[in-house]
Amino acid sequence: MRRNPRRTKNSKNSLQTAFTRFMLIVAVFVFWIGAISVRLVHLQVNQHDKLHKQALGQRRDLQKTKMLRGTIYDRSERTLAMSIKVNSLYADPLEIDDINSTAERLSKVLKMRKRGLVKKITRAKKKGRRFVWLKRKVDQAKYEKVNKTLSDEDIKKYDFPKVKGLHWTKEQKREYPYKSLAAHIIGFSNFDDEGQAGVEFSQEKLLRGEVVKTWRKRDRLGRVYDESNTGLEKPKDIVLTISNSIQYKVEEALARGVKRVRGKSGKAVVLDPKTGEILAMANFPSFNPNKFRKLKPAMWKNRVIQDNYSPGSIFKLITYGAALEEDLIKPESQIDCGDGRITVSKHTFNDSHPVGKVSYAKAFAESSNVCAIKTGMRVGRNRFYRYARSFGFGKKTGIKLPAETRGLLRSPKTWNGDSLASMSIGYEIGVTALQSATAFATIANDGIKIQPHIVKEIRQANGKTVSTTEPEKVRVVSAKTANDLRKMLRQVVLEGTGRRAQLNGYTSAGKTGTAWKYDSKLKAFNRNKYVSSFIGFAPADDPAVVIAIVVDEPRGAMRYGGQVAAPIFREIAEKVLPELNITPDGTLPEDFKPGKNKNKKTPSNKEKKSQDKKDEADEILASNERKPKAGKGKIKTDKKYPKRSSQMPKHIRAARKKPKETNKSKRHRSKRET
Amino acid sequence: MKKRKVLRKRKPRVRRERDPIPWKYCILTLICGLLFVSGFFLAATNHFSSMAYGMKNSKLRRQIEGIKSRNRRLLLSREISLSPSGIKEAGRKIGLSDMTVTNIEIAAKTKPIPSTSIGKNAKKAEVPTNISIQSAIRNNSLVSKIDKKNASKKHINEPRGHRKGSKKESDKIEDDLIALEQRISMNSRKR
Repeated sequence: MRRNPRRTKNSKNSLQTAFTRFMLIVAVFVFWIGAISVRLVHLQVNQHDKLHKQALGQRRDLQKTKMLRGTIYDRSERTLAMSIKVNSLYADPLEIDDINSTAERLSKVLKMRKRGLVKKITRAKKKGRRFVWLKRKVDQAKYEKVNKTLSDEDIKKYDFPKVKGLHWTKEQKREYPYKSLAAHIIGFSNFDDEGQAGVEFSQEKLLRGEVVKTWRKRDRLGRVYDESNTGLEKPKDIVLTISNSIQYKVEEALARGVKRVRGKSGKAVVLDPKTGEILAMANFPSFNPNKFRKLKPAMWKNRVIQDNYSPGSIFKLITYGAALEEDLIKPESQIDCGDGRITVSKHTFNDSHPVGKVSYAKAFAESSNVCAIKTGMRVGRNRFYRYARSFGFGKKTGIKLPAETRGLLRSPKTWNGDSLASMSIGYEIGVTALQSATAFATIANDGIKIQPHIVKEIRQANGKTVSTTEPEKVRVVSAKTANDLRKMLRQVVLEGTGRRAQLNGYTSAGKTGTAWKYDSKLKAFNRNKYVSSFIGFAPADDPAVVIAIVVDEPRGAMRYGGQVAAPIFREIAEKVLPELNITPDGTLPEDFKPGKNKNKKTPSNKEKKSQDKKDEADEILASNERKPKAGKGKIKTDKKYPKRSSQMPKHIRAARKKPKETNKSKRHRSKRET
Repeated sequence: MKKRKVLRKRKPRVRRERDPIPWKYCILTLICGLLFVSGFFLAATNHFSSMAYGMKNSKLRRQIEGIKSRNRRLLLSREISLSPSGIKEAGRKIGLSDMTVTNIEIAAKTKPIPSTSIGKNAKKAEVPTNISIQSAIRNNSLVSKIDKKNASKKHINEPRGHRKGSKKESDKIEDDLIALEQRISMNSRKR
């Protein structure tokens, strides 16, 4: 059979056509896939970083939060300062459509002025800002109230409040639960949680919380499904040496004592002489660190370490201590104080009352200036200066509180002719209450000076101790000298000027100090302004506490250290010693019988006042007046009290008046005469 | 030219023979395909469950943070209520007054309160309104549980007349202490 060539050709053509079409389609597909692949490669290789960043930016946000500031505890783990998380409300003005209605709702809930809110949000919207504070650091109750009150049901929002344009952010707030207790020690931190005074300032590096960056990934509804943060170390907690209860008692007693004498201010320190731990440090007046916005810098000044004052007779401890250590004197040896006057380099120093020839212990107890000056002269300039420095005067104690002053102790090269005499009785020298307390603590601790400290230990947030304070110990005087001085200080309380520091049930020892205050305006000592102090320790033989009380400018009848500061010392010691479980080592006064004293008549307030006035009148007459010359019988009065009796105050007149003769005395006199 | 005779044999009928189905290969392919697909499903499940767990975690983390901050707030309010100013305020709210000279004289004249429970029998007992805090402490009727340790220490200034009572009295005193503490905490919460 013959094949049809045309038919063969046709079939060949159709096959080729089919093949061609097929290849065309394949080519289209290849081209299409190729284009997609090229695009994929371009996106995933060339633009990888850019797109990755963009994707992360869309679903990831960065939240910066500050770690909570470290907590400050007292020695018995009571919280003195702590931070809590609080919420702060801010607005995104560009998201708010109706500013007026939003502001109205906010003003009702937050109790703020509507006008102010409208102004704030409108101004920010005009500038294109996306963040404006509305109310910062709101407490939990208010936060819940705002969320409850401000909620629009139709708005789908992942965070509170459910109102367009309003958001909460977390902040922290520093709280001081004990308010003004130990305020000068703790200090305070400002709105940005930065320490401004006290331990808050000095330990800022340990307490400050670092900023933690938290990366969060959100889905399209804003729900967080992944979080990661930079692992930073948490801030440290600080344990102080102060005791809450002792601090409270000291502050109360100091406030009462200063108010009683209408003093300008007062300071008190309670120290453990064996460890150097400060159990209490009080200033009056105090302040509330929770209300730091109302504070002025003068209010948070810690006068215990920042104020210089002339210690007066307190400094005789150094004079006699140096002399005893150098074996120049013995407590029982005699010294002639003469008529209570001594002239050194044309400067006359007087005693409040002449003591005559007495033992050194008695002279110390009576606070004789003449005896102290004579003793100081025997010690000599260089030795005196050396002992003053070794007791800690003229340099900082090193306590971890800010702005501590080193005091004022000039080098012997700059001393005048009468400087040694002045310094022997506590003038021409500036000390702080803490330095004085440390000096007494040295004597209480058998001559070993221990550096006073306020920070007991530093801990991590989980409670693990990082470091404890190990204070420096230095021997200043021998144990024998310290023992002799303790006995002399005991005599001050038993027989001398510090009788009001006697305790019920415990023995005590200490020294009074009364010094004129230096007036910077007058550039001289103001004889009408005093600094009255008493520093002592109890029990006398094995001291457990050293208490220093300094009252600035007491007014009224009482101004001497024994009258003003010693009663405060007694009040504090009688409360603190039982709390420290110190066994009573003294005897109660002879007439003290618990439960049987009901019928005994105690002097009324009026009688006490009149007695005090009489005492003051005697002292004023005796102090700073020259002894009348023999034969003349006239007493030159001070300018304050003129010759005419009608111009003198009543109590002075009463003291000078001869007692009225009663009938009984008349009868006695007549009997005697017959 | 000779024509060749091409004998064209009639081809016998060609029966199409089919190859036997390679079951092994099919099953293997199926299994691999299933594995491949299930892998995708697994990856998708893991992805979405990790997202779900992540959301739960963040929710729990927020709850923990909320509980921790609540704990701190409670600690703070506890410290505030135990502070001297807090105790004084609580004392004033339940009718106690500060120690003054006149109060001491009144306290000395009034008889000590018998140790009856304050919370239960408060309406029945006639408590003088002007009684001082310190005199009440001395009468052992208002010593707080926290200060019990201090109260147990022997102080010289404590009047000797008030010694430790019998066991029954001490139980009553403890009830009083618990009732008073609850009252103080309620007052501080109201604040």
